[in-house]
Amino acid sequence: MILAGAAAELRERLRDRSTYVALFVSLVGIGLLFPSDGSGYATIAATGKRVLLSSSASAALAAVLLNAFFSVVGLLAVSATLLRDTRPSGIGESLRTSPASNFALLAGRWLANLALLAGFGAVACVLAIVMVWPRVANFDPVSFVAVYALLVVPALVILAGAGLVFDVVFRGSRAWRVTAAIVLWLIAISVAAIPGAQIVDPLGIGQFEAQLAAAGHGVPVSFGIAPMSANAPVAFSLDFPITWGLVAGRIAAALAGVAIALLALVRFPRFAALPVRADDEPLHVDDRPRSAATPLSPVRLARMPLLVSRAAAEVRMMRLGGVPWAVLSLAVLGNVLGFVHATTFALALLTLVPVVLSQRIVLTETPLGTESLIGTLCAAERQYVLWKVLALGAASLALALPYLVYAAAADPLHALGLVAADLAIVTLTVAIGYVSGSVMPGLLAAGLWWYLFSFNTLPPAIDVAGVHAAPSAVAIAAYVVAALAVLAAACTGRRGAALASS
Amino acid sequence: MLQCTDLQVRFGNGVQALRGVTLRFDAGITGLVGRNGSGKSTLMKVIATSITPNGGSLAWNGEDAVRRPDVIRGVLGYVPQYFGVYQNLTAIEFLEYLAALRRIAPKAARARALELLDRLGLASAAKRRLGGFSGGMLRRVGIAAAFLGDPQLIVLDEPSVGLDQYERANFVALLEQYRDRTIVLGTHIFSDLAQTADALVFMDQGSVADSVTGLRAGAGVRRGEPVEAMCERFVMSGSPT
Ligand SMILES: Nc1ncnc2c1ncn2[C@@H]1O[C@H](COP(=O)(O)OP(=O)(O)O)[C@@H](O)[C@H]1O
Ligand SMILES: [Mg+2]
Repeated sequence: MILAGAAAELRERLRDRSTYVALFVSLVGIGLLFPSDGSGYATIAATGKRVLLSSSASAALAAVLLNAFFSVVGLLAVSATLLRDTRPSGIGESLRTSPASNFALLAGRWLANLALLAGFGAVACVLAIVMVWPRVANFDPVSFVAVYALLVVPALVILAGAGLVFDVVFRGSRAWRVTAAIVLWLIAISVAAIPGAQIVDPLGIGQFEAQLAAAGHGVPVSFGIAPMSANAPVAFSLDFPITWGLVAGRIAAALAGVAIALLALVRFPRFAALPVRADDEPLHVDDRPRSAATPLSPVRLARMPLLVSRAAAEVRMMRLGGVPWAVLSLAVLGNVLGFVHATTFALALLTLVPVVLSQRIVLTETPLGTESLIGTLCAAERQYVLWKVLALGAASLALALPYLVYAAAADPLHALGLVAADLAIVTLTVAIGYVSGSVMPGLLAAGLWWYLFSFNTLPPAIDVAGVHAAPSAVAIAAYVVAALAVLAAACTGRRGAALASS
Repeated sequence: MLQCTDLQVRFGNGVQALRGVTLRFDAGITGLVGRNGSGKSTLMKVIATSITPNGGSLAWNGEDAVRRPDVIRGVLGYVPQYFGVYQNLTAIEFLEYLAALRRIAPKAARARALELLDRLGLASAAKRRLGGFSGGMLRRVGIAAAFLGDPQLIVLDEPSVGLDQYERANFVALLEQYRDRTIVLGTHIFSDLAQTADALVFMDQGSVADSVTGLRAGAGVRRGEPVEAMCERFVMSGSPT
């Protein structure tokens, strides 16, 4: 019964496109933090010089980055279905009135969480190998995979358990879950900083830093994004040997993850699968499946005269939940902890948001069924596209506001570049989604865009996120013009069949 | 036999949805009738052990089901008013999942799910994802879910919303076949009740306003009045008799 539950959960999530959005965001995050040796920045630097990584040290870096990233994004991914179950879809009622024990239900979920995260981890591993192989002399895949697995698996076990506990404790509240994830993060990082405790540091950051400190012999080493000239010399090379102490520490961390899951399985009685006390029952409207409970009536939505209120309505339709939270917290964490070169990191991260947002809006809109209603009510479909772009642009700029202010003070061109990239990426993904009638092409195009212009050194002049270089005024103007041209093309283009029909 | 005694339900927002409901459900089909908000769904949720009441007791064949909900869960088939599904599973996969939760062996579950989908006119949609189902199709998947296994207690909350006449006839035929079980049927579609109900419970503002039994014996007519007319009069004027 537990296995059947796990299989159904996993199947459901593997078929859900939001899973792939989360995966995509994770991979982009890893890619961003994994520069080639000739790139304009480095993630590990010692006094302006690069640090040369061995196979095992690259694996450790990839693992640490993935763990850090997953402790927020992955946590959202694993608990999303539970959230949907308890309230919006109403499946919670079918589950809690079944004779299956809470233990069985939760254990099935935990297994599904674990399998999903392991899948993410495996895909990320393959990607990291593809990126690292050409960049490391004498690349050794076996030691790469061994170190990667050693650092990643215990973290995933902990996250899979934490996903359960958080859902049980916070009853599906996303804001609380993200906050708790950040607290977990802070605890993990604090543990990593305690010399003796590094060995059980759940995310593996401590072990990595210990190796760095040992190899650098007192040279100030920065771990994060640092600007770097393309031909910067090498300060020292870093290896990440597997020791018995490390293995024992990772096993202990994995056991802690199992203990966390067991805690949820055995201890917490407030899981939604239990009979809820009547005064604990979510409000009546929340009982309804989400698709029935449109936050705003489409008719009202389509008739809204003002750009601002219309844009606000679109933003509400997106139901961002914890996403802005997660992004902002990550960025703030990056700054506060001094892990990264704050401006570049924040700018790069925040220009990723609109890509996800534009996908979400196409994703959420169609199942709600408001698409066709709005289509018939709006004077013209192109008007609809325009609204979307404006709303998305406004939403992502609002998210980026603290950083825009920050960046504008330090480097106005960076800030302008962010705005231009924001507009262009949003326009591109929405337009492609609109014309093709599917989400995937837009997502792929955005991924390719990021890969070509920002992660690679291809044309640094048009890297408006400023990962490699400050953008030029000409490039910024070109971005705005290109965005407007794409928008115009989309507005005159034919509407995709899939989008129109479903 | 299901016995509810003085059931009280108060929601977190202060709404008193059940104010001391005492009822006995015998084998056969009992219709729940009442205006929206009268507490039908709440009563069915309590019976299905989806929520625990703030007061009163619930007993299945003499066993306390508030303290030990499993005595009901093991024999229950329940369609909630808002029947949630995993959007990305196919109808058959989802039913197999629910069957697994009820400890039905995989092979038997598949055969039974296919049979039920077929009876409810969903055979051709069995392998399509639930995300693409219409409201009426989802209701029928819910009905199929309730009849998986061998339920002794069947609780159906507005099961026939969105069904056309043909589909409703299939549903009624299915109900007929389970007449020897205890069936609680809350609905606004009174023709379903006219065809099937053995007893009716009229609910108003969280209380039982009236009830009638022995309808089948009287061939769906009481004191010369057909069931449909009786239900309609109650909903319109608040007085069934
Ligand atoms: N989860 C809930 N939270 C708060 N109030 C609720 C909830 N569910 C139902 N109610 C209220 O309880 C009353 C009875 O509702 P319900 O049992 O759904 O009625 P019916 O099914 O007869 O239409 C209504 O006033 C309704 O608004
Ligand atoms: Mg109801």
